[in-house]
Amino acid sequence: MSTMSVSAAKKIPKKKSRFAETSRLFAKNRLAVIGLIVLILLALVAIFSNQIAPYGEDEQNLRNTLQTPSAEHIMGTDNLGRDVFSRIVYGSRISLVVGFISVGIGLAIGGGLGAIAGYFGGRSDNIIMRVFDMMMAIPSMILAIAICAALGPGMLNTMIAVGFSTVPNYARVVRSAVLTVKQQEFIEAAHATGSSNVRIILKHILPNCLAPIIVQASLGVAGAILSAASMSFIGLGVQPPTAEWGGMLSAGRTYVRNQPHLVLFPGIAIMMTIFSLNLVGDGLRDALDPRLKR
Amino acid sequence: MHKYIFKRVLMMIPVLLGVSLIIFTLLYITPGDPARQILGPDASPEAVEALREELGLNDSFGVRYANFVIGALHGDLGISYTTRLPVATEIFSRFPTTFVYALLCTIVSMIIGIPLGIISATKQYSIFDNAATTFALLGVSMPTFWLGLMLILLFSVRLDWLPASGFYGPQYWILPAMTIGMNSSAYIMRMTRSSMLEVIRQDYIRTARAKGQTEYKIVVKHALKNALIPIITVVGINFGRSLGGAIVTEQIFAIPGLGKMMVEAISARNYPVVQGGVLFIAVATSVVNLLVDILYAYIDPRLSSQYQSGKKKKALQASEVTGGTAK
Repeated sequence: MSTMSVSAAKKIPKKKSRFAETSRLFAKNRLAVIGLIVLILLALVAIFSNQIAPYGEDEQNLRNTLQTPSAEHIMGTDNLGRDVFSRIVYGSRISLVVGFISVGIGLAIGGGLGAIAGYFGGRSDNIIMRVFDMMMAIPSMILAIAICAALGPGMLNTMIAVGFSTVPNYARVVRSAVLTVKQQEFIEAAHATGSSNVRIILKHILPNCLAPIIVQASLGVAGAILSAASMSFIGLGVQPPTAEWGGMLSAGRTYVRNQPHLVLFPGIAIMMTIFSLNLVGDGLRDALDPRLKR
Repeated sequence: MHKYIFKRVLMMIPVLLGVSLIIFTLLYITPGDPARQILGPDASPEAVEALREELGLNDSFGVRYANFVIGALHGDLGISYTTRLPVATEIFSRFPTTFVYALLCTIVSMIIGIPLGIISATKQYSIFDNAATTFALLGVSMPTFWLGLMLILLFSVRLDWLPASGFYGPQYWILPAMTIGMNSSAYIMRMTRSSMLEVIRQDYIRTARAKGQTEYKIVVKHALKNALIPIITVVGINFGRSLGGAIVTEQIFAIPGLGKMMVEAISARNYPVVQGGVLFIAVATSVVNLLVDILYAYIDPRLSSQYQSGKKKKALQASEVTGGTAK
């Protein structure tokens, strides 16, 4: 998505000022900047997991199980003697990948269909949006669980399930954005110069709909990470021994009475990630559309 | 108004058909044989085959779906594979629990969310506002399953004040209601704040102030009343969502509600329960949405006149409002 806005910025000079204006407004929002910094740190942790984690992801030491936090294991060890801190570090990879790819899946399918519905209108609009109305009548968590049950557990299937269950949200956002842009004169001009429909949608309409899409997507990543963690928590989704925060919480539940650190730290990791994603999402919304400021 | 309600109920039919088709298709492609699951791994292939035949699993997709729809129209949602009870009985034995739970969560979230939102809006950019906004964002960011575990840890394990699981009486309700209530209150607080901020800047508020009206009356009588519609929308959405069962929270607190039933049914390949459950939840959510839309008319007289005139247009707008804000 960022490459898209950059290429658009190169071609239309006015777009560049919009980008600069947005970043200026975003930078003024102190909380949003903090959120962005936390996210960048998190991404670095995910990339350099191998260097940062003192122990392996699934390195068991059965003589050293259920240790409370100490100098050697700063977040203690779990029931198999695995270092909780290392597992949280490795878990950041899973969460970020699942979050962004789920949103990518939801956005690609939902955004594509939403753009078609909004651009062509009429019967295709009716059919597409009615199907999404039906999907929205099913609670998204139950839909995700049912899809995951149909596909089987695993990381890829979790991403597909979470992504699919959010498709209607993106379709709605993109459709309504397309509807407003479509009526402007430069689209008519593009029609007059003989541009094809595909070209008009991709080159003219979508770059002008980016603001609401970016906001929805950035908040969507937070939602996707939460859904994926919930799914591992109830035993679907990413399976052990992969270090996934929701799965770690679920495994630590049994020991919550005496070893609360097993549920405390993964929970804090999830909360911190979602919190900073929400800060960034809110900041982006305020910066991209000052009218929506809450 | 009656015509509008009738029309909305009619509009539910295609949605429910679609919902059942989606969930039916998903279950159809789900691997695993329910008959094998019921009889266990030791059963002979002949017994499994006989049971498949009995449950109608050998029929084609179309026949099975048609049978389900025809049954559902007669109020027969099938028989649960595991308990051998009618699915409708299963759902209605669990629904009161989920309903009480959803109601409690909604009350808690309103008690926390609305006052916080009002104070935040009236004292915008104050320390209180910043603290409340941050609290709300934290509330949205906390996974409910984690918050629930932390509350259990604090109030049942450490302080030993409240029971950790079950759903037998008021003392069992507090922790689960707080878990979901905290999360939903964050959404309600944010919506109350932004809606109040919009209203408070209007001219008639300035007029009320110029008249010398007390600040309390300005906020509650003049501002809050006009800010209610978006707040009620969010409350309605949250309530509808809780009616579908707080899937993860019900697991943590061992609450025998719809959410727990659904998760167990999906993992046990208990198809009739899943289909019936999803259909029931979709009906419940649609009814809540309809009630919220009717409530709008009572709160805002301008809307009730519109229900009479441009019914079609209004119905479209109303569905846009409820759908657009749903997450």
